[in-house]
Amino acid sequence: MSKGRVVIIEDEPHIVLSLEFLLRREGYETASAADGEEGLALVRQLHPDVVLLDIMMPKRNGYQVCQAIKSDPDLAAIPVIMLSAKGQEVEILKGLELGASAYVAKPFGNAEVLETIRAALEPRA
Amino acid sequence: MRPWNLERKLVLAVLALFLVPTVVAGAILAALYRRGAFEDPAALVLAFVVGFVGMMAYLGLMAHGLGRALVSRLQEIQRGTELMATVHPDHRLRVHRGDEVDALAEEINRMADRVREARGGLETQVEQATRALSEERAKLSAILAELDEGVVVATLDGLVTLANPVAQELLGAPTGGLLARSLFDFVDREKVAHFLDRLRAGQSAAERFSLQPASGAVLHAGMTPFLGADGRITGFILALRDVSRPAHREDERRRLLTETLEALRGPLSSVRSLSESLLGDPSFAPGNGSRPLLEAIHAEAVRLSGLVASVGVPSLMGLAHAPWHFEQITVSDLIVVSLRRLAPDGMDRDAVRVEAPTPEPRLRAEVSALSAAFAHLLGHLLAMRTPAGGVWVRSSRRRGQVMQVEAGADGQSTLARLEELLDASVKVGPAGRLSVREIVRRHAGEAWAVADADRLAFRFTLPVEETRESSSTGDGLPPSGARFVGAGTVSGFGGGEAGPDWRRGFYDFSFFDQMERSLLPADRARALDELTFVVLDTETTGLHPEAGDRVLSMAGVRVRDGVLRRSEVFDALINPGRPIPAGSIRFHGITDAMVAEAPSIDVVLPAFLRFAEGAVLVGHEVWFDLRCLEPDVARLGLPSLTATRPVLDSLLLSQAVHASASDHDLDAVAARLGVRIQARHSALGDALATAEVFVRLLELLRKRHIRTLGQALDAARAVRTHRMPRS
Repeated sequence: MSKGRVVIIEDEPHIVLSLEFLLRREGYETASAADGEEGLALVRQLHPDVVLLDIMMPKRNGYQVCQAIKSDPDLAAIPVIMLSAKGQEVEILKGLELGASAYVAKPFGNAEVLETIRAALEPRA
Repeated sequence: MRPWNLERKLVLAVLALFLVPTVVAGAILAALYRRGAFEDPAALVLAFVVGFVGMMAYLGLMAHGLGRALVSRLQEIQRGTELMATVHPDHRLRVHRGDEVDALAEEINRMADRVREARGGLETQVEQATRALSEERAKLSAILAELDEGVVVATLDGLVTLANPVAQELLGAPTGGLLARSLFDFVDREKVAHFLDRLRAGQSAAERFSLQPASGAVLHAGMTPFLGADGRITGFILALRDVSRPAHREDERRRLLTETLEALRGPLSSVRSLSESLLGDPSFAPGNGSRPLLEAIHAEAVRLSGLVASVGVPSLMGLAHAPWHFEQITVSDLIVVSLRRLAPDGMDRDAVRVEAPTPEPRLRAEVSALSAAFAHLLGHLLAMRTPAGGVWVRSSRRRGQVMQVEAGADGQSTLARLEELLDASVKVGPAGRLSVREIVRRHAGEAWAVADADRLAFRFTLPVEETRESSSTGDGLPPSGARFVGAGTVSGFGGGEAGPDWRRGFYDFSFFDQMERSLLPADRARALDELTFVVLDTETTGLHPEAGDRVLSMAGVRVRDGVLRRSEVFDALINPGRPIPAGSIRFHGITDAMVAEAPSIDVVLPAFLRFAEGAVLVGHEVWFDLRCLEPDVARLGLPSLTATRPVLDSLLLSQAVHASASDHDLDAVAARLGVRIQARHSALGDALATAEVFVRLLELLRKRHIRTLGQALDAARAVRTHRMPRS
């Protein structure tokens, strides 16, 4: 039985590979997109339980995708977890202001990612 | 003893007054008596009435003539004495017939001679003192020339009065140097004004900040005030040091560090996560020969992650982008600087409400760039808000060293439109243009837009500078007193009746009214003695700008501290882009060949506006000049000549001072005030003459207790209201 559906929006293929490997092993269903526009389309199509969202991406950056998700009444309830290579407070704050539920700074460990996803899904359980 | 003194004249006049009519009446009565006319009582009454009326008329006329002759001579002496005592020491009273009144005039003339002699002695002393001062100045210049630092001495309105060669080089000043130029031709006015305000408010004894002139150099500036005799700040000294090279080296180093750290984080995540996943995979269970190798890879990935995190996260401030150099400023002060940048036309800058925590933390900001970004956004918010809606800037301290700032307004817009505004480029001081987003990014901050149903906003996260002083700041700064702020627009001219014939028809009093409406009370209250004036004159191809006539030449000369500054002049020939009519060449002597190589008005007008920045414009029938210039001002998108500064007309001031004089054209006023005009009908010649006239008028105004700009404008308005018929 699936623990939930996760959409990974990330342009670095090795990170997508590692997250998909980890999450599938932990019982999540995953789908991924390599840029912001494709990712937003995927979220609209799949209505996942949680979105893992990188910030620095081609076409639409993570902030714009987050803003689009949160301004769409159909999608606004989906928790968004931001992934960033910068890890600075100004970015974290901006992500949270735009509606992200949590923030994971790269480089991250598997336990950190899993715990953040679990916490994001908890209120929905 | 004078043969015909006034007393004798008066006695004789009175005797004559009575004697002549008595003799005439007696003769008439005798003649009538001889003819028996008095036998008829009616004829007697008639003769008496006619005689009485005739006598009264005669006495009235004679008394009026006598009084007028005496009073007019006294008025002439009063006017002449005032001129001698004020603006025209060489003027002398005319002596006519040698009576007591003339004796008075002679005595006044003698007194004027003695005053002139005394003044001559005084002038010699002043000359000696000036020479001594010049020597001191030369010594100081020699010392300054030896310094490695650039040094600039400037007045409160930015006029450079002393600068060494290093400063000239650092600021990229052209040949001719910095002297008598505005410092703000080279560096960001609002930034300098902000730190000057801090000095004037007594918030510090000296200020340190950075400047980026158009040359692209990065300068560290130290600003200290200098005080006048009354203890008030009258100017400032800037010490400038070039830090471009170290700044650029540091920039490169930081950029590399930032990019390397960011680039490392992704691959590290992959290695760490993948190795962790493999370690949990049954095929790599303990006992597998490869597991120790995988464990080593994972351990190194974890160690590297720790290193990257420890370098990257605390370096928030370090990652703010050089070569900018950052100053500390509160959000409140930043908004004051930003609002100053907004064009006053139609902008209700007072509508912006600033809410800040107390005590207010200081941002780490490059003031020129960040205030330009906020000015851009606030200008749009003011324009986009609903009619009754407000505009606000709210700041709050958030987690860690981060300040969140929201600039918003009641109104509606789309997110895309607001994002466009964040991507729009704004002018960052004299050094170039950058998008708002890039400016914020260089501050190690983030910017984004929010559009709700009834409000729109820009939000920023910006780093806070942690200093010991940060808790003691937070008061908004008083607005700068060094320049005029006004609002409103000015339109064209109409007809009028004052002034020389050739300019007649160009007065429109609504121009005055609109200009005065745009003035703030604080500007009206400013003392004439404290103001800087630029006296303007133009030569044109003709008298009808609306029919295509263009400006051929324009000149300006500064009057500061009540003194005409002959070395501070602006003088330019302009290629009008059309043939010059022969009729006008006869007038000003400027031919097509003379302007063939001259720059266009597009080049000259902005340069003139920089020259005249912060000054009150003055001219003789100045509205004609402004009317000729306004179309080009509008075409070039420059601020209206009269919207941001007051304008005084020396013709109207002359009328206010010498109401009884009949002629107020420039030649007549100059002659009356003892000003010799050189190069009449050249822009510079006329501007210099008008400036000399204006300086003398200022003194006469002072004698009439007209001491502030508002009083001078009122006096001019009284003239145009009561003495000049409206067309």
